[in-house]
Amino acid sequence: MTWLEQVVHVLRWDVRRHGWLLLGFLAVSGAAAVAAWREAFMGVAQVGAWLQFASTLWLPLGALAAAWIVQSSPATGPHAHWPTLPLSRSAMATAKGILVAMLLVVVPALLTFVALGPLDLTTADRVETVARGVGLQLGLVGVLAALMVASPDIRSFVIVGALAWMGTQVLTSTVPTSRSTIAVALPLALGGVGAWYAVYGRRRVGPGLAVAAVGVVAAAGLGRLGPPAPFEGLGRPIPPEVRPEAVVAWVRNMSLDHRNARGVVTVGFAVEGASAHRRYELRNPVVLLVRPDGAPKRRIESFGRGVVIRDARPVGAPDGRYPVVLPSIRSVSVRVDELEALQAGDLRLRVDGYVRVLQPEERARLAIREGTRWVGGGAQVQVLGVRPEHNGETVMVQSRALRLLDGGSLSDGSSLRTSLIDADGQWIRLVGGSRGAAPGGLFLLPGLQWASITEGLRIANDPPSAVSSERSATPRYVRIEEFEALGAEPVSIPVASRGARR
Amino acid sequence: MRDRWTAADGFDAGAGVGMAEEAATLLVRNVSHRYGARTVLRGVDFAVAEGSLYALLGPNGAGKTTLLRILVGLLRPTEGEASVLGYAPHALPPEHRARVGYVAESVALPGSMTLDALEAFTSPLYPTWDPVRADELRDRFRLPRRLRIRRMSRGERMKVAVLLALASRPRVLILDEPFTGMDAVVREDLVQGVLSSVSDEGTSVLLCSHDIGELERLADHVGVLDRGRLVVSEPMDVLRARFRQIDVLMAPGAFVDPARLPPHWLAAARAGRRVSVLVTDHGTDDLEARVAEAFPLAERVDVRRASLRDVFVGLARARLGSGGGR
Repeated sequence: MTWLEQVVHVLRWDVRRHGWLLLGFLAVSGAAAVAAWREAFMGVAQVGAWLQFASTLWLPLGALAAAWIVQSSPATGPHAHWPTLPLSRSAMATAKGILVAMLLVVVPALLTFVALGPLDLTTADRVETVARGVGLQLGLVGVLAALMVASPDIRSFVIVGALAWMGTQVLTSTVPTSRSTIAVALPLALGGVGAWYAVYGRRRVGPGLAVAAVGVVAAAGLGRLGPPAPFEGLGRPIPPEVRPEAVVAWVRNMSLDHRNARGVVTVGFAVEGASAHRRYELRNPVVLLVRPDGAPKRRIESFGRGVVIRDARPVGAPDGRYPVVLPSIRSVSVRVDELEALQAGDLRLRVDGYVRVLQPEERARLAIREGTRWVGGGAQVQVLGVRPEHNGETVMVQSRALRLLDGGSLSDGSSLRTSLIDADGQWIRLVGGSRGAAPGGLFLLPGLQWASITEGLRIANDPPSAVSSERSATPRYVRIEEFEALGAEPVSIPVASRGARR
Repeated sequence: MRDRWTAADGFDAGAGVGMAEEAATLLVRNVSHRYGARTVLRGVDFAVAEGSLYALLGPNGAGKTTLLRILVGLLRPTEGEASVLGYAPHALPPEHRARVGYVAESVALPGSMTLDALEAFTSPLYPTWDPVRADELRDRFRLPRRLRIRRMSRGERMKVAVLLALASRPRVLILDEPFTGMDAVVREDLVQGVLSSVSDEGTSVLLCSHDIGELERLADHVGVLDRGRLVVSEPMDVLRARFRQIDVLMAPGAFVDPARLPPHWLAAARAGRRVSVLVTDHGTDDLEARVAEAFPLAERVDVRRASLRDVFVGLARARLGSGGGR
């Protein structure tokens, strides 16, 4: 038998031998896909307890099923039957690895692709979304694979697997989101694959765990120190007619965190020459400490995927009447000696990143009636209901957007803007503009998650607004706008010293 | 106390079958193995020639199973080297591994498979698989074809392992306690199966068992492992020629001082007036005269050819000192 024939032989027999387990897993993950599909199709969580159960537990159950199959022919130990057979160890490792990958990567990826169907994404977007979700999944699967092959039995795997799950959560939370996620996931995945083959090849756990540990250390190191995530929005330069005069940053405050013995520097951002009808973002910002001559000393921190920058002047809503509160202040942590140098003017801060200008385009108008819904580009807006009140009505509007847990979108989770308008199309007020989107349920593949805002708005018989410019017209529609990028350019912003601005 | 009996003691311990190393299908050279701080094998040397059957004896915990696992490649020796068909066991290429059969109670056969399924899984891996022989053995062992292996008795599982090993027509057969759970009839079937494999196909067999009676019938060569050391390793006919068992009935009140026994005589057992002595160097001089000299107050003396059981028990007791030592 050739090596390849051995792989196919073992794979075929494992499928046959564990058919009931594989069918059970397919049923659970299929139910999870149905739950995700119905959620996407109906707009809200219209799924029963069993489907909820399936969507929550398919991954742990998949990991258990994979571990069961692996442990049915343990890679180590003197009692295994397969090492006494004329089977190549690498063929055995490959066959088992294919089955684990099928369970934890391929099947969920295919199901996710199907479940994304109702979300009005192009095929290319669906493929990219699934690919990025799989990219995130690979790191976790790498860790789980190393543990399932190194564990002496299922019970040990459950214990160390749970610990590893918590460990990856900690690792993920400590890795700045502006770092390339694949830089973290890839070493974990490669470490897992290396450990897998090391354990099967040597039939000893030690070398495998050593390889896996190298992967984890590399992932942690690259997560903290690796290259920033590439900015995907750098498609075209900003047209001159919409380019802002400047993006400015200044130190708003510097303080000493006695408890942690760290300095905290709060930085404000603003756009000069901004238009109230556009949005300005500082994407992939990285904060550097620089010497007075401008030479960088070290990179300190990032501000996540991006910051929405306010107008340097007081800005309003699209018609200039209603103030919009958007985050434009960020804090960085520095060492105490660096804080003192900053205070003395011996060091300065600089922020490098990309400025992107966006403009809202109207996508749809929803009549304010229960159940009306718009879906597009992986997002959806739905009027959940109109509830009569004693002095009017309250309309419940929900905006949801599918986002990647690697921070693939801005912190507000959506490029949508939803407003109430009157029968003439005149703007009345923003929906959900006052707070960020709350993370919702997972969308099958870990790494894909709903971000949603649900807001109840009273739409009739309101008392006159304290804001003189607010229209008291009766809302008739929900207007949905999507911010489209007009262009983006790299930018290097020197942070002015404290007191330069307020 | 000596760790190993050598030719000077009347044994041919190290040389095994006394063959050239290249003629050996199984070769163990100065192999030691440790589990953590515990040493279970210490400098073991022996060889098994093509077409011969080497029986390995030893009390529980002597290191027999560890040695067999090293030869199958399930473990690697901490020191020394082993080879099977000329290769290190852990690096045996699949085409050569296909010529090695291994039967051990400790190997967990896939419990969810039936015998039919296991045969269907296993047979394509062996180019020399003989379906006719598999059918014969299945019938002879009266094995249920559609019963899951986890539901089989211990003996039936051993028969399945034996069937898989013999049906592949191996060049090397390594058997670790193969008679476990087998009744007398099936045991005889197994013995015949192994013997025919050895005689018809030149299979080399390394067999480890507590069933000394069966081993005596089968073995060409015998090794005795004790606390990790190979204390005896020699051809069966040499062993038979050199060992004698002397059973003595002493006169009332007479006393045998083990320290005064001739060299190479082991006081194997003593019960009341009865004393058993294992002679390890028969043929070197006049045994009758030495017996008369050693037991002047004996009422009756029986000298007979030592069975393998006598040898094994005598050596074990001598080393433990329970027989009074020498």
